[in-house]
Amino acid sequence: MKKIIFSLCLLPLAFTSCTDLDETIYDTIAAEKYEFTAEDAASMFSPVYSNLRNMYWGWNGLNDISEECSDLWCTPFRIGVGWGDLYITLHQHTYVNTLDHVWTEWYYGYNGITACNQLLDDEGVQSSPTAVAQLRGYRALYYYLLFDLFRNIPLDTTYDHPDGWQPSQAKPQETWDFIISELNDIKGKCGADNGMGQINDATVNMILAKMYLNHEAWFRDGDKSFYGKAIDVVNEIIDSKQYALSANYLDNFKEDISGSPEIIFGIPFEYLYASGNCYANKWMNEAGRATWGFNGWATGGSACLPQFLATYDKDDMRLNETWIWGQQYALNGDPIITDDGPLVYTTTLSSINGCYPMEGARLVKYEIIGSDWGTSYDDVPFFRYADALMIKAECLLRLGGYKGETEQDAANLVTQVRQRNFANPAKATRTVAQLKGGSCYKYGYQETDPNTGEKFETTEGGADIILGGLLDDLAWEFIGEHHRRQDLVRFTMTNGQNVYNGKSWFCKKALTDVNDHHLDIFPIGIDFLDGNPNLVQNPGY
Amino acid sequence: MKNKVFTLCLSRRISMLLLLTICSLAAFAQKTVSGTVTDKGKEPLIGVNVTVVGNSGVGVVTDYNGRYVLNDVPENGALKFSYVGYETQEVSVAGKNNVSVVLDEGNQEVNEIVVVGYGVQRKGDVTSAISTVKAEDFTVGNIQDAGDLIKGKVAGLTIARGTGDPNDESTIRLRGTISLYGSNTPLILVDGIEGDLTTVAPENIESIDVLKDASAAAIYGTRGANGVIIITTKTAHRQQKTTATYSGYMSISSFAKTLDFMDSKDVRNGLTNFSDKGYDTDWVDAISRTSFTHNHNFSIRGGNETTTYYADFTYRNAQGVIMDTYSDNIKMKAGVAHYMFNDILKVGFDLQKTWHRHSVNNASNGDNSNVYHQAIIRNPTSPIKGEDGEWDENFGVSYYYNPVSMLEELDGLFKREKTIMTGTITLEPIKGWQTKLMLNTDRSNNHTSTFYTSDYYGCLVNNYSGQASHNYGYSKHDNLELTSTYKQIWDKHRFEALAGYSYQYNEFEGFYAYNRDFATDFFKYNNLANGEALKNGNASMTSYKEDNKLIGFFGRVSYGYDNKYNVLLSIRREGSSKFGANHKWGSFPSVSAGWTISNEEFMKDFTWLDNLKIRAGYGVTGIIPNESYLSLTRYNYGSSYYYSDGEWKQGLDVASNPNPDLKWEKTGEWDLGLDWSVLDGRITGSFDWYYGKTSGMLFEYTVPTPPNLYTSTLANVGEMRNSGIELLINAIPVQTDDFTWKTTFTMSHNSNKLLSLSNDLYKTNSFYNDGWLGEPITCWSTRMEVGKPVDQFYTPHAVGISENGKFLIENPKTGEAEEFDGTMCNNDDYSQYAGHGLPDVTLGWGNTFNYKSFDLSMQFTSQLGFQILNQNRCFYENNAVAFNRLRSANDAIFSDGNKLSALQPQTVCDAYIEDGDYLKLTNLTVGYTLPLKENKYVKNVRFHLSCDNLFTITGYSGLDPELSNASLGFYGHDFRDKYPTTRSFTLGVNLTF
Repeated sequence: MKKIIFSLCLLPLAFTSCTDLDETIYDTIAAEKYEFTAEDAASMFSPVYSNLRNMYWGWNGLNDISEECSDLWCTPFRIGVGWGDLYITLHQHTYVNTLDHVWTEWYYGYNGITACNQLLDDEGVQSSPTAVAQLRGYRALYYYLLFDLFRNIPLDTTYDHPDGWQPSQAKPQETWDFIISELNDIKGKCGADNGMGQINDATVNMILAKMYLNHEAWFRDGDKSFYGKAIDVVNEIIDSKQYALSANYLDNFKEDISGSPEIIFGIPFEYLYASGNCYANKWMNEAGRATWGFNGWATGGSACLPQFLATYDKDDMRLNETWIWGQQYALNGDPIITDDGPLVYTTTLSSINGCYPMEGARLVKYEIIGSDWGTSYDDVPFFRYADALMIKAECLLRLGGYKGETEQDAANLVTQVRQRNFANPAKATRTVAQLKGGSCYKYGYQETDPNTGEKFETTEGGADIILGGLLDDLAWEFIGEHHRRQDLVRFTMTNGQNVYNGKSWFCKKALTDVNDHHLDIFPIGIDFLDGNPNLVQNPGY
Repeated sequence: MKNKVFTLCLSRRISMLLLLTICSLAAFAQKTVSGTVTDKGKEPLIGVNVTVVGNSGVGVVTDYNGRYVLNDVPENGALKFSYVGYETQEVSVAGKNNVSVVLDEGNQEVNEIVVVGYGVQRKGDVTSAISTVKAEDFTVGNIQDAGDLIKGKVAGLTIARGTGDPNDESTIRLRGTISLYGSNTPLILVDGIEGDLTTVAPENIESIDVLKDASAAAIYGTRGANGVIIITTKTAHRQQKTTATYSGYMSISSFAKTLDFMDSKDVRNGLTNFSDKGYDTDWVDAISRTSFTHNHNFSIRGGNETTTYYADFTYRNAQGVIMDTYSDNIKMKAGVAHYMFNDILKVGFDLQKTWHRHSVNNASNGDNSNVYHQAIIRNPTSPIKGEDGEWDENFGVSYYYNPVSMLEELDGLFKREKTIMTGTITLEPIKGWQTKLMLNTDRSNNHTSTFYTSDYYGCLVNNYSGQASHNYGYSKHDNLELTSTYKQIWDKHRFEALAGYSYQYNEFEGFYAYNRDFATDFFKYNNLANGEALKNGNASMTSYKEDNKLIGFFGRVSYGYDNKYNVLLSIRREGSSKFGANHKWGSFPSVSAGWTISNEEFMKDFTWLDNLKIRAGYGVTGIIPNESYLSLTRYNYGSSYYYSDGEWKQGLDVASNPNPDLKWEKTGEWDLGLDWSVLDGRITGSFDWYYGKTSGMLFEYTVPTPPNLYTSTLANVGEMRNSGIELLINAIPVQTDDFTWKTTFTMSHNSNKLLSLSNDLYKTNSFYNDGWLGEPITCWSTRMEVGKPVDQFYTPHAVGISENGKFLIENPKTGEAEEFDGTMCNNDDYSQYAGHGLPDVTLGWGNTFNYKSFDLSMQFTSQLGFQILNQNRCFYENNAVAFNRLRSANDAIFSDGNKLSALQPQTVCDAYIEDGDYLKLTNLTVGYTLPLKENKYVKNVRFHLSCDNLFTITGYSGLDPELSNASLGFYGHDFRDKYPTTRSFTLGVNLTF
């Protein structure tokens, strides 16, 4: 035996293998050591889609960054539990380059773009016009989202670069032009209906509409023509008659929304394959899970801002479809009792720096399923038909009518969207005056010391918000759908400031400098600045 | 011409051999000489080389009575007696047939044999920083691994056991942190083969040599940058009378210190947020015990003229203080060697087998499932079990679980079976020229079986009926090593050369399967297929395999002149499969020189000076990253799925960027040293100064995507510097016939500086934050910044407590104190440097007193000049927590007299950073050796009583200021979830038969 081992081991000495350091790889694939097949190439499309899922519902994803900084809800420090920290940063708009949310968005956004660039460079892919249109559409979508969040972003549109090449930021106008031209190029080439997760012709129009709708908020050049362009592309969607409002508001927030006629672009999630939305975990108290027989982790961090909850019309069904508060009940109807008494969520919140675990109403808009599901596999209603209608309404109001359609048509559109939410149709109706009038949101600083009950309050109100009524409607309809930050930046007050900067709510204070716009966009994450010396931090950070 | 010379040499050599053979065959004018060789204590010396002067071909070794009989000695010749560790003697045999000699150990400081890479050297010839600790100087007590044997005894070697986990290995560090990505642990060689501190039983260790500086370690190339610890095990000598020894001990241990948390009375007095549940439970008591350890070692060794053999058997069962934690070990090591063809050929086989077993439990988990953590935070008025006989749980409170149920409802076993086989063939055709081939394989099977019953908290919370898993791992390390050495001494010249080749192949593979929701808890982990989760897609299964190769060619030349001047050159050319195609090979040279001033003529008058040598050396060593395939563009299948044509399909995602330029991290180190010995060896010592610089340091860089496919790349960019001093003093202050006192003092100081983390291609900010404290704190606490040491704390600076009961944090820009808010701790605008976690100075002080048959030893260790982040205070010296809290949460920690209120969230700030300076009596041992008369049965009987970790003098308020400091970025962190350290008392006996 010994002899055999001996001679075996001497063998490599005798040959060149005694200096052979080639690597053998077993359980992963290495491009250097593997021939990719056509099937493998198809699988490389996965990151195009998965990065959007992660960008949207990754930890501190797109909806979080769009709403935790808003006047709708927050994640306060929970006495005895935790949370707080970076969520306080978001709530108070004290953004820093280490904020995890800016990392998540940039990281997954650019990973998605890289995957698109890599595939668009492939000859096999280039021979398929539908694949090319799909990839260009996805890339434009990623760029639209990054542009909205960070504005001054690198624009890379090819895969092949010389060694050591590092991207620089493009001028906002360049990036805008690129996104618009890409979308115009693929307009009508994506197909009318490709199923969940695929960009279709209407999705292309929706991205264009969002770009046009926000142009003024992003560039502040007073050019109103873009509102008309937005109406034009939205009209294409409406005129196609392919979409309709779903019968029930909540049809759009089910685990599977592929059947809703309202979904223009939806991101599919699936049990065991793709998980995302962790709002059941993030909002519910551990004992509160019994309402759904849900078993996943639950730490009850986030809560509705009382000021926002107070804006709802009591007859608006969306109030109870979106929020829960008060005594909670188990599946069998029994009231839930914890060691410390009955499980009752209050509608009040003390302070972003200290709330007791039961403070605040909780979000239930997304379907919560029992067992280990929760909200994790709920599809994302990325673009809804209701959104298309509301864009048109807003633009009509901003232009005072367009191509024969009037402000009253705008009010009708808003009413149309509201109708399914009111038992009494009269209550659904919104007038032009209401929409163009102030907001009913009682803006102002509202902090309470959780121990002493001492209050620190200011009153600002919402009367000075232009199209304030419409802004309220956007909140009621699109809470939880990555809308609010963009809307607050777009809607302005009579002093010229946008609502995002100009109003105080809960423990977030208004900016005193009317001309300070640096908070409109986020700082670029420190990791990315470190990794690329060409990047320049956004102004003001 | 060259050829001719070679032939000439060869023919001369052959004729010499022939001549020798003839000489030994033909006996003319020759006689037989016999005698005994003893040491000064009249003990026979076994295996002494006795040769005829001028004809080393004629020789024998002494037997186990120290006797020799040598034939064919020239009538008027002389005999040479040589023995490692003793001064060689030459004695004339003219007119004598019986020659007995007494060999003198001479100056230990010079003649002691130290182990160097691939060989041994006389200490007097050594030119680099090498420390040796022999078995007789090892610490005795409840010894968990080899690190405990030499703790505090080697200057510069920091050995720490920061926890009381019976399965925890000591953390060892030498000369600072040299790498951010690779290992910072020294290479540990057990009889020349890579191993760890637990590879062999401590009882089997003969000596531990530490190659501290790069000029000594460079021969080990890429693995030597953190220094090399060479463990030499006890084997057997030729002509050794068979001896058997038994050594055994029993220990009891308990927590050295427990944290002062609120008790049930405090809860009733409203000092916590708990409501009074009416019971009185000491939770730490409920999960802990006074643990018992027993350890037995039996060995047999011996040899005749041509064959040696040994066998060592060790059994150790060590209980941990936390219930259900233990380490159970059976180790056996045996070997045989045979000398053939008149000692030209030696063949040896060694076999080592280890069975290790420990429970799977949560005692060392670093998260909320940690048993000790749950015990200290639990309501002391809660019962262990409710009236209904079920575990008392309250899942309404987040991260709050019954620690006793956690221990009882988790059933798991870890088993390891390890086999090491070694074969060596040594060929010595000519005295002094030795060629050795070593073949070795080291194979381990690890198997973890885990079962969580339906009543385990994780199952209750998730509504699972049981969870089970099996985890198998296999590792294989094959080694081939071929070395050839040549030694020659003529006149005043000493010459030694070594050439070698080494081939190492490492392979790892594993398999894991998990299932849950079983029909009954009865099956435990024994019927894995029964779980429902497999049917509904929630079971999981993984497997992996990887391998790598490391190949080295090396050579060394050492030359000495007249015992005054010594020089050594070495080089290793080494390649690893782990690196980029362009850079698999690296070269690691070293040079060192020594000047023994005391042997110079002009020093003759300084008779009090036995030895004085100065040394200087420079060497380059390398650091190898831990993983394979780092230079390749790797893709993962199935880490993401995508929806296409109504189906979910496996995606192919990029997992790494390629870096064909990935190469060795290299450390170049200078060492200047001084060895001295005065007053007949009563005071000896050494001093070293070193300066090392790591370049091409690996770091994971964030790179932009696009153009890169993956968002980070591993690249060789950084630079780091370490410099320091080491001092060792051995003294024998008192030495009489009945009483001796020996003392050893070690001191070391290291200073570290991160020099760079960027180049043109790979840039990072000049700093990055680390030391993350998990939920609910979620803050960084340390920072590594270019231009500073790597062990810096970086936190908000608290200057007081406000009337609202919140910390007042200094705003460094304005100097004003601002009331704490939750965003401060991750906001660089509020953080400041707040001390450092690695000690400036590490001290060891060992004392041995012998009085007649009694002996007493004390080993002190001390670390000075460092700070500790007391994590338990961060989490529990707080009044916002829903959990139990430290009594000190009620203290006013600042002069403003304010106390923390419920408005102050758990956080990290410098109020929780304390000075860590300590002095510890690591070990105290009293021994008694029975004064036995010579008898047939027992040669030696010794009893000892020891205490480990008897007391610690420190101002630190936490559990134990001696920290493992095993993870970079967390230096100085006293972890919240650590297994508390223990104190043990041991009674042991050693018998020699």
